[in-house]
Amino acid sequence: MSVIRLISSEWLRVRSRRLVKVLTALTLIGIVVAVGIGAANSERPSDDQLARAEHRADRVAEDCIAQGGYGEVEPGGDVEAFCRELAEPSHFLDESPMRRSDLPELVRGSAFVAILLGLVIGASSVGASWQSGTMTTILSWEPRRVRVALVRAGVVAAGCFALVALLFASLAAVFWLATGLRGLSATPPGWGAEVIEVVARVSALASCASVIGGAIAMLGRNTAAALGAVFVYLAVLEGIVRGLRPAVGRVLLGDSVAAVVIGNDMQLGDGSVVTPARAATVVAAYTLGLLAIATVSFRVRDVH
Amino acid sequence: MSNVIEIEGLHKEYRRLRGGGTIAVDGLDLEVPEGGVFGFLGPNGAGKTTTIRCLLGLVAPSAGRLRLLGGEVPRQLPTSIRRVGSIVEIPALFPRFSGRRNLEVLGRIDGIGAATIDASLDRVGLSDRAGDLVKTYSLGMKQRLGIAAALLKDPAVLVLDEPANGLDPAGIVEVRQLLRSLGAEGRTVFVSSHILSEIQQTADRVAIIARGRLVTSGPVAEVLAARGGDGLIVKLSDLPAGREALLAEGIEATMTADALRVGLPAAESERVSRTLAEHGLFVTELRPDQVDLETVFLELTSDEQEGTPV
Repeated sequence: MSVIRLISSEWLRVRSRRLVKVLTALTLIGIVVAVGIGAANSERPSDDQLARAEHRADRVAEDCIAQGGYGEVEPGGDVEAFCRELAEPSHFLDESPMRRSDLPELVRGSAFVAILLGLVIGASSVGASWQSGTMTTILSWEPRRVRVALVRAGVVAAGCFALVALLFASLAAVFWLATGLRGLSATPPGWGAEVIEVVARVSALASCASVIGGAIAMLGRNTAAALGAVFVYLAVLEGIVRGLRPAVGRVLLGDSVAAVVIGNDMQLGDGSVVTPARAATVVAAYTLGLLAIATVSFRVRDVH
Repeated sequence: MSNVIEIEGLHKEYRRLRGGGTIAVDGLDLEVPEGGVFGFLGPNGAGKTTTIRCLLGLVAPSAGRLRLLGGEVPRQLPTSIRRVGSIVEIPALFPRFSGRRNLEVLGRIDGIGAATIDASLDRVGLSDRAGDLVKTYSLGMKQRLGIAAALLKDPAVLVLDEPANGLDPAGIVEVRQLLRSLGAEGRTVFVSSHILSEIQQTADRVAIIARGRLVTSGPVAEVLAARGGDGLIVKLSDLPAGREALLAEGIEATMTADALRVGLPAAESERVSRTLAEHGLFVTELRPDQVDLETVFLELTSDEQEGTPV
């Protein structure tokens, strides 16, 4: 019961934070502006243009089938399905309008922003408590520090997952409208499921990023230090390690995040392959490992 | 009368990474009985705030035992803290939340509802500004909001670290009245302060610590009495003649630079006045020789130094 009350308190705190409100508003404005610019530069093709594109696509597909899928299809694979997907008619239009079918790629392309959002919200939700001294106040109400740390991480993670999913839902809605009015609304089979899967993956990554940001802010007791540490680690340390030992990429956070975003096997510099499942395991290990270290540190260190 | 706070042999040393450290509290023993206002005094660096932080589980003692409302700290703190309101140093509040939202966030931890929040805000006179952001509050208002937060739990014990810090005279009077009324309700208000006149006017009992150790403790009157001061100060134009007159009547009197210090309680001031008058000497001033808490404090902590390097 007391855990539920603590969750309720933490949830009220997180959703009342100005930073969360400001970042949400800015992201929503960004979505509307970006899609609006895209729509302004897009034009729905005429029936005649579509017919010509379909004709060209058919010719390419037939050529592809005749050549056995250009050697890209594995033995026993469906050559015709591969070639029809390759020769998607909208690719043969003279002008390139917005295509609703591109939404999964759009979500993948926005993953960096979503993950950064999670990182900032997570780091600041913990760092701000240290900087304002409110950690002391919270602990004078709930002195079980492990509980406080885990509830805080859980609430921020769940909140970030929900927020990012909601922002992508907003993106999808605006994009749906824009492609309906000024682009191509056709979607391939399984498109909806793919969109949901990609959004879920990216939202989960944003959620992990919030936990990582929060954990480092808990260790450093400061928001800026946490963000700086993550930047230095990803941009500098992992970059050096990746350059010196490409094979280590499979256990690096940056590569693993990229593989999860892509959702397919990803080839590393040394030719080895990282599967999405393995990459997700690595990301989870970083997240839980840092959370554990931060929680133990919070448990034993004095609070001033 | 049972003790709500019991501290035995509390020792806290802050260690440095390069070795050595600072002893903040050095074998402190303290008992705080239930009810009333208890003043916890000591010079800067005496270990007051460290003691309070240890009591609230924020800092781990190096040695010693602490009990709060009968529960061992930190093992039973989750239970006892539900009846303890506290402010450590400055009230740490969420600056970009309104006053009410601050109390809502804290109140939810203990399932405290809107009615209690309203009552707490009303009690500290912040109802009108409850919707404003805390960052727009004056320091006095923040102190009052901190006290409102501490009162949300309907606490049996209030632990307040320097509650009058940074307040203007009107704010100090407000806090003094509030502490008195809280103590009069049967709560125990454990208040640390270096504003000794405030403590003297507010507290029923005091403890004075220096260099992390207890120097003295007890009811304010007893602490003052133990340092002397149960006499009279008499001023008159001819001090030697006055002293002779009093000694002749068997009244102990010593001469200071500008007055006589007479070894009789205030209740016998009429006897002093009459004796002098009978010798043709007339007093220009006659008052109890009161030792205030500040004098006692300074005497007891005169050799105080901040911290003790080890």
